[in-house]
Amino acid sequence: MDLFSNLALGLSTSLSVTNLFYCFIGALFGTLIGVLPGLGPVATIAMLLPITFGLEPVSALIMLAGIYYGAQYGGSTTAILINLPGESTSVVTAIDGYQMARKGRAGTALATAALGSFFAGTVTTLFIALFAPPLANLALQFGPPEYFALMVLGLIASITLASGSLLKALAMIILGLLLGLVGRDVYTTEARFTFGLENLSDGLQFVALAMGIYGIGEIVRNLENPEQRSVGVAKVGSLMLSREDFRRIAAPVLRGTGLGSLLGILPGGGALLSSFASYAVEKKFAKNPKEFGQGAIEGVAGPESANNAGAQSSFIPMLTLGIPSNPVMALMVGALIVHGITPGPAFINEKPDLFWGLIASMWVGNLMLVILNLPLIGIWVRLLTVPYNYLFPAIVVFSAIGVFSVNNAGADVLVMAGMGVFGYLLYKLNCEPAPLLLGFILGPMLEENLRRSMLLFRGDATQFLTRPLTASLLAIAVVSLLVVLLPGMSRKREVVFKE
Amino acid sequence: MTGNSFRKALLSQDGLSGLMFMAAAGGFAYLAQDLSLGTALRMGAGYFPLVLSGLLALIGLAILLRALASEAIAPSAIAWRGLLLVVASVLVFGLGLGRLGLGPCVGIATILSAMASGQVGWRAAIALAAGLVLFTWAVFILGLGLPIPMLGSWLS
Repeated sequence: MDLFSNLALGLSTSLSVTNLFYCFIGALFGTLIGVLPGLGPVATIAMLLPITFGLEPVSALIMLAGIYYGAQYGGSTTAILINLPGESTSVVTAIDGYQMARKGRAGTALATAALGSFFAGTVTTLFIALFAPPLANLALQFGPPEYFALMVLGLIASITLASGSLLKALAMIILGLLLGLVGRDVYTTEARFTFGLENLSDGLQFVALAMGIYGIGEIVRNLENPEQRSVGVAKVGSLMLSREDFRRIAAPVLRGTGLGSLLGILPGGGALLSSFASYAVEKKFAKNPKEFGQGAIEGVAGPESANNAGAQSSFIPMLTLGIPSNPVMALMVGALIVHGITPGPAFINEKPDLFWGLIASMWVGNLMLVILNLPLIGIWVRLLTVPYNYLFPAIVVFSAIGVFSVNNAGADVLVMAGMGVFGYLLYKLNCEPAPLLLGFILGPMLEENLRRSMLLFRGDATQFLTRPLTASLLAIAVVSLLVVLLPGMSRKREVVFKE
Repeated sequence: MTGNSFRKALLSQDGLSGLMFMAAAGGFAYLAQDLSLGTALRMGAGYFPLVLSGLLALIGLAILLRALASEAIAPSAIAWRGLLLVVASVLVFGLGLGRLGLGPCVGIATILSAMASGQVGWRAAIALAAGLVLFTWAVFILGLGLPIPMLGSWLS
């Protein structure tokens, strides 16, 4: 059976001492930043990206992935213990998790979160192994027009599933696409939007852009709200689950895993949407919905499984199509490109050790997190007492050095400073930056595929609508946009996100 | 609509966003003028950017018009102190890493950004700076061997 030999290859790659080490480092760093509020996975990955440039591509990818799912774990720990979600994906966990902690069941809640996440991680690893290769094979037959249509659909879908104003998100995508075009045009070698600056002829540096908007912009934003972190930490108590607990979490974990794996694939989906959706579902299924908000164990088990499953399955479109579905995946694409690898449908066949090694490492990393995190909870909690006022100067310093070291260029650091101001402006104007980042990554690819398509079509754009596959992809994009723009729907959408 | 409420709507979050997108579209379109346009068959360097700028301008206009018709939410006040000090400390790196070197840059930048919150005293800031200088030297120069001088060309 192919699947098993592939997984065996993956395991042998990911279990090498070096990769095990980087997996561990990634998971550890991920948990660390998950615990610390005010420092998200995007900023951390951007900050650590330069360090990975010296590594083998597979080690680099394994470490970056570890940061991503490690952050999900860490975020839930603080959500449960002090009602302070370290990551946005743990916001719903805090609702019932903290109530459980207040009733002296913090240990049970933490164990539930860990076991649910581990189960979801295991299932999703298999899910990726099963579905990624056929999807990639399908995508191998795509020509430029299909790719163009797919990217348009991906970009549109990513904003219909996100919260906030749709028009603004659409504008942010286009602005991102335009920023992505800065630099020398590969076809005509004309310098575009560079103001004659040599430093910009290779384009805006991606790490500088991401770090500026997510790192620097976020720090300034956090400084607006003076610190208020003198919270009582709940006693952890027993980590054991009773038989009754196991009976109650079984179904939510299964549902959460299923929901998360599916929603994670969708562009713009991923961990955040999955956890919210799962909480809503569990509330509907519950025999006693009144218990939700009062410490229902289902309200921890479901969302925690779902966010982990969603975090992992969001790797599928990135690995098989080369299309990132959220900012973290955009950073992964950026990392791969630096290593000279362009993710896409050929990736699985050309770099099987890389692909399967990454998949297997997710399972290994999840196992590591369960073993590590439960005993280490005490240390994580103590970390929370580090004041943000002392933390953020260090973040500023590290990100500046990191951005500089990518090309040894001070100009990139200046770009980061500018993007920091821009990111803060976006926050002031209530514009969500994620679509901009996706647009930025996809800009050059979108243009190239459009140009090739038009050559193929001999300049006749209507052929996008006469080819069945491109036509249906574009039709789905238009319909999903219209559906969300309809007044009735947009109101409903707001309600969903408010819950 | 009275002049006052028009002004309010224009300076609301959405009104300003619309203006920002339109300005960006205008800027990109202006710069794209100098690029070859090409044809739909063989697109030049300016074709796609111009199409995108047009779309962006339209969406920006729609956002602006919608803002004029709905309730205005003004953007919250800008935290100038934090913004200026944090950005300044990034600029120290951008301009000075080659000339001043890693040590002085980390020191200056740390003290600048530690002042940004207004809740850290001088002594604590200097101690933090000293610690970070040591730490970054150990990690980035000793450990990772980055080609950044500890003391730059101005100082050595």
